[in-house]
Amino acid sequence: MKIRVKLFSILREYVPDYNPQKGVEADLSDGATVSELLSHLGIPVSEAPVVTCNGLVLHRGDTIQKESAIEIFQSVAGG
Amino acid sequence: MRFIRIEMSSQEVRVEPVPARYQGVGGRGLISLYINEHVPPACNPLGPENTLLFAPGLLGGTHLVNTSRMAVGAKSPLTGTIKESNAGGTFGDSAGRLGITAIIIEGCAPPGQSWLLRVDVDGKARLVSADEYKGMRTYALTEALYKAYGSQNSIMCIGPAGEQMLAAASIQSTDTKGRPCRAAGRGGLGAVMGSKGLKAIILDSRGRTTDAIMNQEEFEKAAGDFARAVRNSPFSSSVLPKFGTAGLVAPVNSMGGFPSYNATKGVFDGWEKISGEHIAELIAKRGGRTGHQGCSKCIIQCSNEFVDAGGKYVTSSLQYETIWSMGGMTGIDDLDTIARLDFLCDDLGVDTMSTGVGVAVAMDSGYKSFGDGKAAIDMVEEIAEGTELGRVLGNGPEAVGRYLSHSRVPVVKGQSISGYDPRAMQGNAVTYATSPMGADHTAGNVLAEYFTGRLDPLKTEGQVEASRRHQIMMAVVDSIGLCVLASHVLSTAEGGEAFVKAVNAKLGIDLELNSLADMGIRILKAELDFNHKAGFTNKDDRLPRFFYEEPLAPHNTVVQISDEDMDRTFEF
Repeated sequence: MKIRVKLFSILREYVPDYNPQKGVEADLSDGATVSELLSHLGIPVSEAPVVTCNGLVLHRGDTIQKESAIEIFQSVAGG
Repeated sequence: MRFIRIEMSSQEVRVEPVPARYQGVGGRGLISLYINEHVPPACNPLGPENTLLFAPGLLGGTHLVNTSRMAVGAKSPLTGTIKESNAGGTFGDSAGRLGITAIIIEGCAPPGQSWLLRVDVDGKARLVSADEYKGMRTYALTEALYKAYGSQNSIMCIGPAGEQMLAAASIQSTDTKGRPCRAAGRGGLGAVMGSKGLKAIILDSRGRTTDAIMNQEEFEKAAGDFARAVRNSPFSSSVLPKFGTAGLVAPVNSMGGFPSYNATKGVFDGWEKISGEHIAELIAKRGGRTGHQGCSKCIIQCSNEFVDAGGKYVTSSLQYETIWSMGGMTGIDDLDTIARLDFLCDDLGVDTMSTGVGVAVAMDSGYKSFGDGKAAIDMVEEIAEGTELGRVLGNGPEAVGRYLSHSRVPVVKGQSISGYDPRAMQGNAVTYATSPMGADHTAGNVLAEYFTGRLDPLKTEGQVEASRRHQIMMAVVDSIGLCVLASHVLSTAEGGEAFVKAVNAKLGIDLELNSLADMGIRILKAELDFNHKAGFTNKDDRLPRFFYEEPLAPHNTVVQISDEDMDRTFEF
């Protein structure tokens, strides 16, 4: 399945020529998990990535649904 | 280790030793304990019975990184509660290095008088007439003061808003470049300073008499470990230096929790244009700066210098909360306008958050239209002009709502919420409602719980406990002088351990990290006690009705925390 992903913060540096308007398309197998998506994009856990879908934070083991609009941030605290 | 006590009616200046019961606490802790003991809770905040205190953190002036915050406190004319507000820049570090435990400003100067307090490198304090500086905006004021006293000074000062004693007036603080772009913004402490006839405090920044550290070697080691923990966190080592706190715009909008158009929506239509990513790109293109170190001994360096299309300086330290209040809340998506509004508020000495929310309330009432940048700028300029509307706006969002007969006013105890909608973040609903400070962005922000996936922001489970934990922790953080942006490392093993070791080494004691909570609880109890004596009850620990009644898109939720649960927050 093809999933459209938008990246934020320095995570954009993991995709060469990243286009902020379009995001990046990830071609994943059906039932792929959040962890697999991060591996696919080459984003290491050390960057504290947070994956959201429709504004809800997903956990590492959650499956990515078909046609999801995914956004990935670095973990933040308030200020 | 000394108190500098000033009686403004007689201009008497006294330097005193610090009583035993105030030792071992600093910053907010010291201020709250002192106010609860000495300030009549029913006093007029703008009258002679209120006391204004300035206190660096317990570890201010030491080598611990990110620990140069300056706490300021009094009874607030905006909320009527006890209030601590803290500011960055260089003032806290300079105060610590002069061995100042607190500056205590009592009484009021006779009407019409204006004074500045000067503390020189030997710690000698004197009041000097500030008549020639009356009415000055803060940028011109600090420029004149640096000319008169030299560049090696730290300044905290008020602008025209504080001199007019407006309830949302701030106290501005100079950053490493001497610009008054940092603020003790919340709660109208600028008005208290103005009511006392004090225009500015100037501290020599070359002090070398920091309070003794009991175990120097242990302290240096802990400080090194703490710095490493800050560097190991992606938030403090990547997000903040590159994007500043503006890096929060994208994630908070993604969560549907960015209060927009006077908190009628949770996502702002133009959010990508005001995101940290876009700001960094624009600043780079125009030759401004990101990754700017605004505060002493900071290794996060989240500040910025925003310039116009011609490369000319507009403002510095353009932060998330200002972008939220002057952008999301008002519907303005033009960064040049938002930056100009940030500068204006700093220059006039008024809280960007309260002012942006006030403008948003005015727009929501139909007074002006959402997104009208020119109208927003004109309204803020009216504060300096002292027009009727200017005075209303400078007195905070509740005053604006009353003046325009508009009831959607997002405040608790008179102070506006911050850039996290309580309907999309139930834990922040608890903090806004229950904090002794009124609705507040640093008193106990539980955002990190959501981003780590520990808590679901839309459900009630765990929110009260999380708010309690964060409020306790922040009382400690504000007493030590640590910046909130470094405080998240306290929840890592490395950071938490290093921090408590630093405190132990300073005081020659042997606490565990979770015993630091006792310090936080003691401080909160003093604040709650003062508020109780000032007439506040649990009925004041509630959000405005619309938060319980108007669902917020896109999640279409309301605040679901029950009154009973709100009232459990301070079951320590």
